[in-house]
Amino acid sequence: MAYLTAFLTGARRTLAARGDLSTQVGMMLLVILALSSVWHAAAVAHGGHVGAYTFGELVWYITFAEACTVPVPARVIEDIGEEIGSGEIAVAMLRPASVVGIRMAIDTGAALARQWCCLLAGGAFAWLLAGPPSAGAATVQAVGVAFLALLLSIALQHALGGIAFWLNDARSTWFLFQKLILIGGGVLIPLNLLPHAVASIFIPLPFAAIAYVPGSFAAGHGSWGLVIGQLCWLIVGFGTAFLVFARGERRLEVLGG
Amino acid sequence: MRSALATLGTAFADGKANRASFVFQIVLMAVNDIAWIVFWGLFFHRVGTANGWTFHDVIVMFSLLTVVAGIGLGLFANCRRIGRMVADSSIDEVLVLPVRPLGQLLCRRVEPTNLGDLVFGVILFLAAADPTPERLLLWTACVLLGVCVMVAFLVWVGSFTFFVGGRGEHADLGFNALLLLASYPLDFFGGPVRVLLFTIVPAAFITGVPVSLMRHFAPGQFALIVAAAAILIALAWSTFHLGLRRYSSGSLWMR
Repeated sequence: MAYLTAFLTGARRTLAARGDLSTQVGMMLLVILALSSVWHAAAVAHGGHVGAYTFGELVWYITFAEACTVPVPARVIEDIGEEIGSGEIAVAMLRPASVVGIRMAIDTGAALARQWCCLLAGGAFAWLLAGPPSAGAATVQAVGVAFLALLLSIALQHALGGIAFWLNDARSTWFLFQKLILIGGGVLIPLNLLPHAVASIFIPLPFAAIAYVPGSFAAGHGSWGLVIGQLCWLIVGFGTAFLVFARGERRLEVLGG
Repeated sequence: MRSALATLGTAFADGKANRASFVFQIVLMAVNDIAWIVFWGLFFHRVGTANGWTFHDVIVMFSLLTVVAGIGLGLFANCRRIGRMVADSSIDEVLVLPVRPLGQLLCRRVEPTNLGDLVFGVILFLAAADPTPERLLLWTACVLLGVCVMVAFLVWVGSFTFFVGGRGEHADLGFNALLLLASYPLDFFGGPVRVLLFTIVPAAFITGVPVSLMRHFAPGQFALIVAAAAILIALAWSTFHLGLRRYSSGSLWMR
């Protein structure tokens, strides 16, 4: 019950902050516009296709990849690090519920509200730019995969943020995570368009499960193998986040009051 | 001018006070820039050329953008915070000083993170953009004009807060739009978006037109950038000062 309340609180807070929400959605639309212009130029130069993708498929790929990364800003890692570093987390530890569980429930509620806004606005924009989704009915699967991607991103960010229990400062980790998602996760370029050797390194990694997998489903190039990989990373991500916080909370020492 | 330079020197010393953090932030921003270069490298490896642009053109584009952002957002860091400063009345601290407020505001804060852009851009140009003396001269002129365009645009959109209120959200959106659209090749955009890049969000004058000039110098295009910079500076200056006349402090710093 506590987790459901935390989830709903996160969602309500996000929907109430209309200025922030519209800025985020506006930025996402701008990114879709810029990236779709890039891929349009590439597709025109290559007879309408880039690798296995048509222009329309690339636009839907970008839309879903963005809608899985924009709603969970990588700064979450910095926030967690600051809460741990400043000792603020000690207050949350007084509650009769898991610190990381409540935190993740709030973040999931907030991120899901943002993701739906991004998918609705981004989907309408992508439709305008490139017509209906090329995946057809499979777009519904893409929405489900996008939710799993969101959960994985939250779990991984909490696992990384928890490093602050040992280092006292995990602020820089968010930056590394963001860059890994951009290139290694396939936000900017679908991973199967990379040179084969590079793609075979990135595709099995969790970053690909956050952006490349939902993007592929939206473009009609998804496979159940990718979803199985995503589910495996989800288990590893949540397991690691809970383990890191459980160990970290035991060694936390807060001075002062 | 002297007071602005002295303030800039103090702001720089302040940013440098924590040396480890200062260097670390510079390195982080350089890593960010490298990630973009990697993306464009992979993109052009896949497509060869697109709309007349090659990977080399993108290198020139990024060397311009990173240095413009390094100077504009690094040395005149407050240019992107004018909206927020008006909203929370923190410009009051400058208004009581016997100096011109806009210049003083712009020089008050140095952002070390963006100085990483400055270092990266200069190295990128010298290492990978065929730096002959003529090209270096033209590149420097384009950088200086680009800084004028960027800083003036950000002051202009930030000054809207004097008239429309809010916490400077529109300025944040303008800032993000300018930086985002300037980091993509101009010729990839067509129709209304291209018109937008030459008018409401003048990103074309920061990277697109300068890259074209670096390929083949055309006096008309150069004059266009100079005119754009002059118009934006006039707009920014007049909007800020008209806004100041309407401004009534929230007296936050007195509380």
